[in-house]
Amino acid sequence: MSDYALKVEDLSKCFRVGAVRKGNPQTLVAQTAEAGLRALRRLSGRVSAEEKAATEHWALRDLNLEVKEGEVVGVIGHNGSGKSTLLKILSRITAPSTGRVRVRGRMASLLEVGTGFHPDLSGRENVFLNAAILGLKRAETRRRFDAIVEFSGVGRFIDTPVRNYSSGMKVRLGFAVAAHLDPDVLLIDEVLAVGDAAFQQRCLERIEQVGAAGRTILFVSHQLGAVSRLAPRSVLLNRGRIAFDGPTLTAIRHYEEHIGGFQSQQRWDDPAQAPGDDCVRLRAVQLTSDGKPLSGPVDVRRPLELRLRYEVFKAGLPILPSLHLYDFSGTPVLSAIDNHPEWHGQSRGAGVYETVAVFPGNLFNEGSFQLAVGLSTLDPFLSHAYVHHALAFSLYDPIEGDSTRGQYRGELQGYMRPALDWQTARLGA
Amino acid sequence: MRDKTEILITPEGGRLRGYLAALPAFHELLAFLVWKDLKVQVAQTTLGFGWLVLRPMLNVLVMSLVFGKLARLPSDGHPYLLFLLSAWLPWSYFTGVSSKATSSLLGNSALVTKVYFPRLLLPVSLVLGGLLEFLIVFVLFVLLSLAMTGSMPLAGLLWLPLPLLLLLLTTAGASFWLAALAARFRDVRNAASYLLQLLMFLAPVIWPLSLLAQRFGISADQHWLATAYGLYPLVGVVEGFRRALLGSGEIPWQLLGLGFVSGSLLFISGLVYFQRSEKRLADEL
Repeated sequence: MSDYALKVEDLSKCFRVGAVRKGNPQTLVAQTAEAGLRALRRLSGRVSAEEKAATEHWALRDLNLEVKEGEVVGVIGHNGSGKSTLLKILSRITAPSTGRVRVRGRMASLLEVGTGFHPDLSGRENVFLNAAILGLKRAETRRRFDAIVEFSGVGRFIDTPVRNYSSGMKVRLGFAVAAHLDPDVLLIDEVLAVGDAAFQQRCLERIEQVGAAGRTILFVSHQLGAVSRLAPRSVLLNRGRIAFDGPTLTAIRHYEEHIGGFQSQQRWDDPAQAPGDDCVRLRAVQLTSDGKPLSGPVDVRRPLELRLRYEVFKAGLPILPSLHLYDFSGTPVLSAIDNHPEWHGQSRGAGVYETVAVFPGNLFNEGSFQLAVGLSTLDPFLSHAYVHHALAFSLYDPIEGDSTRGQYRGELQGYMRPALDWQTARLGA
Repeated sequence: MRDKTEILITPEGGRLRGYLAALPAFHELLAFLVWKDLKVQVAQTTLGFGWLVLRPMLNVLVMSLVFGKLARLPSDGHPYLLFLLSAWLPWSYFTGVSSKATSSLLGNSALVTKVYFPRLLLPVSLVLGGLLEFLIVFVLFVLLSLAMTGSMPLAGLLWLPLPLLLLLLTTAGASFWLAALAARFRDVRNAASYLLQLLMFLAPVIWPLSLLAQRFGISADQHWLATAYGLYPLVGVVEGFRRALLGSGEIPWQLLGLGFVSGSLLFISGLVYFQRSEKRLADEL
C-alpha cells in the first residue's frame, strides 16, 4: 500500500529517569560532573545491565503503525501507556529515540489544554500565529477567521489577551483553529476532557465532518464512547507497545477486559482503613454470579449479585445501602437503593451485616461497567461511606440464541437489554 | 489535489542543510514572531512605543555622566556623550538581543512544548526585531551629532555596513548558543547577564581603543596580543562603528577581518549546536 498518510516504523522513545526534568533543573556543573563520571565508567566497562535498565524508561517500544489517507483512528490505553508520547513524536514536539515516521501533507495537532497559544497575545493574534505555524498564508487564514471565531464561541473576547481566557475558552479556540485550518493530518489529544457537553458534541460533529472530508485523524481519548463513535479503527497501547490494532469495538473490549481494572472484590481488613465513619464502615464488597466468585467476563444471561459487608458501630441508625453503576467512561447507568421493607428506614443494632443486591440475568447489554457503593442515613441525609471505584466487571454474550439478542449478531446500542414481555397476535390473514 | 510534501521524523533531526532549506516556508511565521515581540514589549505599558526611545537615552545619559564626567575616561577628543553613543549603538543591540535570546526558548515554552515549528525562528526573530531599536538609537545619534557638533560625517556611513554585518553575524551566533544552552542548563540564564556585562568592559565601549597603546604599550598593529584581542569580534564592531560614525580614523581592516573570522565561526557553530539541541528541547523545557 502506498496511499498512507502516516507511517510509523519501529518507533521507540526512551526517557532517562532522573534526567533533566521540569522543576529539577540540573546545574551545568552537576551535569558535567555526572557526564564525566558516566564516561569514565563506560570506559572501564562498569555500567551494569541493571543500572542501565533502572535509569531507562521506554515510553514507546517498537511501534509499527500505518494510517491510510482519510482514515480516522482512535488511540486508547491507560495513563502512561504511551498515547501522549506517541502524539508528541508525531507532532514533532519531541524526537523519537529510534525508528522513524513519515507523514504526508500538512499536519496540525491539538495537544492538551493551551494548545500553543501565547498568553500575551489576543485570541485573534493567536489564531494567526497558529495558522502561520501550520504554514497557512495570511489571506487563507483571514478567509477562515470568521468561521473559527463563530465555532469557538469566544465572540467578543477575541481581542482579549489569551491569558485572561478560561481553560474552556482556550480549548474551544484551539480546537476551532485546528479543525478549520484544513490540515491533511489532524492529531487530537484529550481535548474533549475540557469544555461543556454542548461543545464536546460540536467537536465530535466537526471531527466527523473533517473525517468525512477525507482528512486523516488520529484521536487520543479516554472517552471510549467518543472513540467508538468517531473511529472505526483503534490502536490499543499498553506499556508502550501496541496491544491491539483493529476494529474499535474489539479494541475497547480488550482494553476493558485485559487492561482496564477488572475487579470483582475488595476487602478492608483493618477497620481503621475501611471507608466509613464512627457510625458504620464497609468491610467488603464482592460480585458473584450464581453465588460463585467471578473469574472473568460474565455471561449476560446469568444473574449477578453484589454483596456488601459492613459493620455498624452506632446503634439506632437507619442505614441505607446503595449502589451506583457507571459505564467505563464514567457515564451513569443507574442508581439503586435498598428499599426492602424489613430494613428500609428501620434502626439497626450494632454488628456486622451483609446486604445482597441481585441483578437478574438478561438485564444489561454487553460491555464493561464500574460499580460504586455507598452507605448513608436519612433524616438528615448523611453519606457515611462511599467508594467510587469499588468494583468493575464485564458482560459478554456467547450468542447461543437464548439471550435477548436472539439470533441477531450485530451491534446493539445502550446499556440495558432487558427481557421484555413480547407478545404478537395475528389479527387477520 | 494539493501537493503533499512528506515529513520525515527521525531521531537525529536530519541534515542542517535540509533544516535550513525548510526555513523560507515559514517566512510569515517569522514576520509574525518579530511583530509579536515588539508588541509584547510595547503592550501593557503606559508609554508603549516611548520606551523604545526613552530606554537607550536614559542609559546613555547616565553612563556618560558616570564615565565621562565623574570618571573622566578619555574619549579621543570627541564629546564623551557622542563617543559613548557611537559604540553604545551596536553594543546595546548585541546585548539586548543576546539577553532576550537567552530566555527565548524558556519563555516560549508554551509554544515549544505544544506545537512544532523550526525553533531557530525564535532567536532569528529577535535578531530582526532588535533592528527597530537599533534604528531608533541611530536616529538619536544623528540628531545628537547634529546638535552638538553641527555636522554628521557622511564618508563613514559608506562603509558602516561592514561592521553592521559583523554585528549581525556575532549577535546571531551568540543568540543561537545562548538560547540552546539556557534551555539545557538553567544556570546559563543567570550567568549570561554577568557575561554580557563583562564583555562590555572588555570591548572598547566606554573607553577608547587608544587607551591600550597608551597604558600597556600594545600597538594595535604589531603585538600578538592585539591580534588575539581582534579575534573578539565585538572589538571590530565597536571600533568600526565608532570610527565610521565619528568620522575619525580609517577603516579598521585588521580588527574587522579578524572579527569576521571568529564571528563566522561563532555563527556556524551556534547554528549547528542549536539545530542539534532542537530535538531534545521539549523534553528539557
